[in-house]
Amino acid sequence: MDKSEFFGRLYIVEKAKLNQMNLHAEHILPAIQIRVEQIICNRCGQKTAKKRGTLPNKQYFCPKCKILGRISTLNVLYTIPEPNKFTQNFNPLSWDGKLSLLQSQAAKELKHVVESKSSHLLWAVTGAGKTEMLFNALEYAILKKMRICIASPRVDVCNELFPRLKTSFKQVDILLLHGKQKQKYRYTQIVICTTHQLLNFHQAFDVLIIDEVDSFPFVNNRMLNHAVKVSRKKESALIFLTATPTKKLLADVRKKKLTFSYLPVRYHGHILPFPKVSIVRGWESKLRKQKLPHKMAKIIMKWSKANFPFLIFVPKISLLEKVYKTVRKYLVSDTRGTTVYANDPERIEKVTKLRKGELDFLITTTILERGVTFPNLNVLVLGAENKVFTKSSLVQIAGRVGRSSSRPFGDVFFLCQTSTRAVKGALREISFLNRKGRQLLK
Amino acid sequence: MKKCLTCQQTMFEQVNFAWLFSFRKIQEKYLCENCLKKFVLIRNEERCQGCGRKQEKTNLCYDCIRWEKTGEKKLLGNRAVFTYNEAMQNFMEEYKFKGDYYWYHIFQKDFEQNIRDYYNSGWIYVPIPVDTLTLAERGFNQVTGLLQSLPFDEILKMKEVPERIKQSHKTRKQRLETQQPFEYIDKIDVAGKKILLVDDVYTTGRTLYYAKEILVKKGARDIRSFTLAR
Repeated sequence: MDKSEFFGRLYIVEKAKLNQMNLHAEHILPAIQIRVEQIICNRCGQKTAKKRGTLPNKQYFCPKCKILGRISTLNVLYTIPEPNKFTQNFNPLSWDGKLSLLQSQAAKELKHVVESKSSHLLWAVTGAGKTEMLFNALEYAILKKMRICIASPRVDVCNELFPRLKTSFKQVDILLLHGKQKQKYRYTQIVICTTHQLLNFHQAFDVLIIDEVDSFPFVNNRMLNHAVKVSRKKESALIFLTATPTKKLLADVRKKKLTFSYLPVRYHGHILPFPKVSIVRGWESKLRKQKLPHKMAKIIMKWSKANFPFLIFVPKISLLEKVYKTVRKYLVSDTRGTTVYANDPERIEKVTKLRKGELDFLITTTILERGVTFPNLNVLVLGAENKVFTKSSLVQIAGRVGRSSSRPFGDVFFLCQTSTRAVKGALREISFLNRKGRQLLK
Repeated sequence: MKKCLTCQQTMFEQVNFAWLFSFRKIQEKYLCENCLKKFVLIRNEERCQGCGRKQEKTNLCYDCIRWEKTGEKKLLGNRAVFTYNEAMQNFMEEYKFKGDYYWYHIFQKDFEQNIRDYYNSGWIYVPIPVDTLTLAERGFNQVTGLLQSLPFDEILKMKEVPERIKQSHKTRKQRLETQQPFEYIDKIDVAGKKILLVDDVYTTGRTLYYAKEILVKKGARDIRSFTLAR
């Protein structure tokens, strides 16, 4: 096996095979720490009751991180400290776009974060061009031979980031890692991965960037937060990117644990489209009778006449088919649409079809709330009162609209039984961002 | 609150009024009602008499007829508790291949009770062994995991072979073509005894019939088998 594969990475080695492998003793970590009533996993850092993690003959395993391959007291972990062995790249950035004034301001701040190896939160509205703003900082890091990781809790976000970075940094070796593909690991300067994959690294990265920090499953997940702590070097830069920061992140900024930059204007210099809320009583019982609320029918008929693609968000997977059948009744027969959900095998194809204009509408659950871009889009949320639509997910959904400079506006409708705290909060946040944005644009 | 092992949903204990004044313990649950429903029980009267497959008719299934044609005089009369469906496949994946030993709790009690019900007195329980390499890696034998409180005798072991392909990675044809994988450990005298072979899954029957072959040579009187899934 190539030695470079161990650099900054945790490898599971069986104790039985330890003698054959000729490893450095100082680089071997025990896999599990045993306490009186608990065991602590050295990979995911989680505590487990001994009863839950018992194997025969007084051996123990960690059930919390078993999706990455079970580790137990029968194994040890092996790692070689990150040596930053990269070839010197003198002109890595092959991107020739231009940043707007506000964007380059934020980009400068990000570069400073990488220089000073501190922690930073970038709050930029949806469609602000977060990825492009990173490029200057990344270029600097590559020149300094730093190892970089861009992680996101969402697979879709990773999949979308990978080709964009590849075209922008043509000479740099980039690796995409997530559980749904079979790419073999190799040692590269830039790694794009899901946050779960970070558990396989050990003090590897000089720059760690977490995109969409506020999204599921990262938020409130102790294991993944631990992964962020251990996968980066003790002295390293940490950058959080989000359009909807959680209260905790903002509190950390207030406590001066994080530095902060803020961008309330989109890359094309327009503000966010403001959602319209309509109260539709009894939409579920109407749907059972195969009818749409009057308002919704009017909206979608208007959209399909104007020939703009649209997304309809529903709270539950079980509603998808029902809504699809009912929507069909109201539209002309040659409008094309379908449904999509998290475990849909054709999920990626359907999304690309909508982007290419081969489909006119998609009915979806919250999986398409972030990380996807369609031109000329309109969105509608049916049942926005449901608790799966949190404040941040509603802001994200509204942020799908008006992302292209050719049509920087669009319609966003929240249809709900009753107005909830999340709906009101989302409206408040968008109007706040827009107010600040307008002041900046003046 | 306890969570269901497969769907991670919180389970609620349904207690009635009588329970409040009784001394009964609440039975430990590991799966929620919904997930438990996905496992299909095989009832005694609707199984193939040879391999325990769930079927409508009462005569032998085509697989067992094939075994008879290859010269097997007495079939194993296998009994299985559940059919091998998607839920069971998922169970095996988590328990056996991912190695989450705790999952044995889901079936262990029922499995043992079933064995006690059908094969009570005078039977020697023999679990099918796991080869040493897998055992070192996995840390447990998936069959003995299901037999926590039942006395069993490990009188079979795997032959030492440098590179073994797992049965579960082979096609049906390859599985049937495998060579005798077992050896006999001389612990107890099996001549004239009744032996119950215990395994996790009966797929083609190849493994179990090899185990039978060895024990027949040692003079066992009656050999049957019992598996969790078919």
